[in-house]
Amino acid sequence: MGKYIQFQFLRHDSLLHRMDALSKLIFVVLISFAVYFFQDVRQLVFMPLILFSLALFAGKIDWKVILCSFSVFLAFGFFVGVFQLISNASAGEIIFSAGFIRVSDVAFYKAQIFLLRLFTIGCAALVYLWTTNPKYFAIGLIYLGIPYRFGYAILVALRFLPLIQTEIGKIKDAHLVRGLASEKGIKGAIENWRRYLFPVLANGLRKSETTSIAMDSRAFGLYKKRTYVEEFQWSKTGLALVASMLIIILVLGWTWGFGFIQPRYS
Amino acid sequence: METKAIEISHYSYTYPGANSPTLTDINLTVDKGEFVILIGPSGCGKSTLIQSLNGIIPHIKGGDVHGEILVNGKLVAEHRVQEMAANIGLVFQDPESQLCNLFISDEVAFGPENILLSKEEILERVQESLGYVGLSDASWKYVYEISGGQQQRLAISSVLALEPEILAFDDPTANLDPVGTAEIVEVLRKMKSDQRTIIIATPWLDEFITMATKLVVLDKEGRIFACGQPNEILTKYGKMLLEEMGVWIPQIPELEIKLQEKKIIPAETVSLTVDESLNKLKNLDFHSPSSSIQKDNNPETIVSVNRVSFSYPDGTRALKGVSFDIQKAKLTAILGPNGSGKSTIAKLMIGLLPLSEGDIRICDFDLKKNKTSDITKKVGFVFQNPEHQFVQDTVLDEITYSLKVIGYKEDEIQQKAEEMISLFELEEHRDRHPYVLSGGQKRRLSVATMLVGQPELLILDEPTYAQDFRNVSSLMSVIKQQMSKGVSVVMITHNMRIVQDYADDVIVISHGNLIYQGKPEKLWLSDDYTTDATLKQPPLQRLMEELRKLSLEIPDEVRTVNQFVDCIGGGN
Repeated sequence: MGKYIQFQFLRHDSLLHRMDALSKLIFVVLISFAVYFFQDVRQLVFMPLILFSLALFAGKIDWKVILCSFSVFLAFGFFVGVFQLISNASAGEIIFSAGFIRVSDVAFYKAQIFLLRLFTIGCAALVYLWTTNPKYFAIGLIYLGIPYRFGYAILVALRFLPLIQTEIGKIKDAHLVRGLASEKGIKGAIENWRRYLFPVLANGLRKSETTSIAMDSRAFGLYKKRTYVEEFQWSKTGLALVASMLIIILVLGWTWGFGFIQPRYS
Repeated sequence: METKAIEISHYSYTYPGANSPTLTDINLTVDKGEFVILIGPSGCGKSTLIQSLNGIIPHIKGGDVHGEILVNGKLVAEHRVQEMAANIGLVFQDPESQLCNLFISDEVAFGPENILLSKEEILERVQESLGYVGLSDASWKYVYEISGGQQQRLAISSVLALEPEILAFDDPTANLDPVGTAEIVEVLRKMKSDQRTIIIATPWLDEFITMATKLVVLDKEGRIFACGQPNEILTKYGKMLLEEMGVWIPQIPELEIKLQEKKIIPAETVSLTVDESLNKLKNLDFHSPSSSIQKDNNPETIVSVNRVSFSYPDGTRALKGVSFDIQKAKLTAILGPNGSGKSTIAKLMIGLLPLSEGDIRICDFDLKKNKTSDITKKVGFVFQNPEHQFVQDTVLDEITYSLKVIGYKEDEIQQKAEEMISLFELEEHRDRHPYVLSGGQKRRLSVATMLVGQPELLILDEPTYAQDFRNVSSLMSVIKQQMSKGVSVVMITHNMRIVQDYADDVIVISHGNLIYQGKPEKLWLSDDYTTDATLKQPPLQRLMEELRKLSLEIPDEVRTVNQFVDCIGGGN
């Protein structure tokens, strides 16, 4: 399953890949806002299905990659849902009980809503990540008037993510040989991070210093502006995607209603 | 017309917070079209000098500067690093860290975009620069999906796109396998023939010496100890460089210096190449090897690898039915290009990867039936980056930690730790944090943490990486000492000099297959072993091959400079 979990740009020639980075960003922002105003589970189930179809058909992403990577956010959502079940256990009527476990109707409703919200936002971010070349993301930000140093900082960070992953793997192995296995559980995870953080930071700082001086040595920051081989342009398909999403949100809202940020229960 | 590319006068530099200068009173002139090599012991300031040429020092790193550097007629102190980019290009040691874009063509376009060139001009430069280093066909690839050698060529290409007149390289082949190194040497040769000005800091002279017009030696205090034509410098100071300063010198000059010392050949300027040396050595007489070349007729097997195959989760078949034995108390070198399966077999031997196909037995210990924590009681593993293995806050604690894990008693722990600290010459550093040690000290500490538990087998991954001759010699002498007590050593390396000087046996892996197992001196007898694994014959081996073609009877067992000298009975 591990090899199908992808949190990076996946190169393909697809409709979504050809769309401009800013339209897709607006699409993700629209979805993220919409899920906070949807209060009906049916509305929230609809969104991940749209995202799955988009990634599969318009993004040409492997269905196994979509399912496995989406499931990471489903797992996160599940934890948030369980937290809602526990924290709202005393509200509303009890609809299920087994031993000391009691689930109220309010808690169950809130758990579903929070799970689906988190899940949807995570899936939308993934679709963006898979189909957007970070270079175009940076160029898009610069088009919006954000200084190019900031855009490049994000680009370099994305460039280094796979290196950090590899580095952690090597440190884990080296510690294992010294007799320190990775610890399990929440406490263990904290301890692992404490142990891995120092070498990762030390090497990361050294690498980032080299990157920074290598960039300056190639005239980065010489002028306030830069030229670009590729400049930002809005794409018709991107704008169509934003318009379509807006219509879908309005239709879903009109059908099952809008609410406020806190889920309503009646 | 201005003929000076670089003029350094009375230049001294002290890092912020440092008590003494790293560079002291440097005076150096580099003419246009020159190829200059900087050498010196670890910590002599080679990288510092390279970084001073475009103003990284002091504009970015700070510190105190005295004297001045003129590059292409520009006073470095008065220009920002970015302003120097079109005059001097810098290529760093680690290819991965200096690349900041995701795609190859974007990396090359990066520089021209910064100097506000038009789109058409940028595309033209991208095409030209990628073509120069032979990467035109890969322009659409991710920077991290190409090999180390290709990444370093890309770094060169990205610098060339700014069309600087001077190129400076800081140990550009340090992280590369023989294939990657050969690629970089080829690009440098091309640049040299194009009359570009090149200055390169490297501990490995063998690859570059024939291109050099000037050799500059820095001493431990960061002063220029010697500067001049390479063969003259090596003739005059070669022995001192090797024995007192701890600097690697090329094998052919090393051999001739030793032959001159024994008065086997006349004292004259040493040769740099095999061809030059052939004329001087073609009349030598050889006799049978002395007792220094030992033969072991009853080897005891400590590791038995039987039909081992391994595939990674992404489907990469890293090993394809590999079988070999490793002898007790011997040093076995595992060779092969990057991605050949060397590290995979080493990780299987320590239990870091699960053994699914085939068997590995180490000291009658079946790896399939044991966990890494059990295996590490008998097998030590030293990683390429020593910092990855450090888990404590002082040198002493690092060593005592290993003993505690094994289960030694408190009184034994202190005594054994002290012995190890003294053996690895770390007494002065016992209370320092491992991360603040020098590269050589970190390497010694990482080996000490593994040897203190008295393993039966020690696996070393690239132990000579970024080490000077002195550090390597001192490390290898401790390892040899441990081998005399029965410890067996497996060393993964690209360093053929180390293999020839220290290895008892060699295993060559290529594309997941074992293609050679035997004595190092026999490795070069067939091209089948070396071509497929892209191994490069050390100069001494090439020289002996040529001398044998001239009917000289050099004993088969000879493989080191000292053995060669010992086997000569009389001279011209």
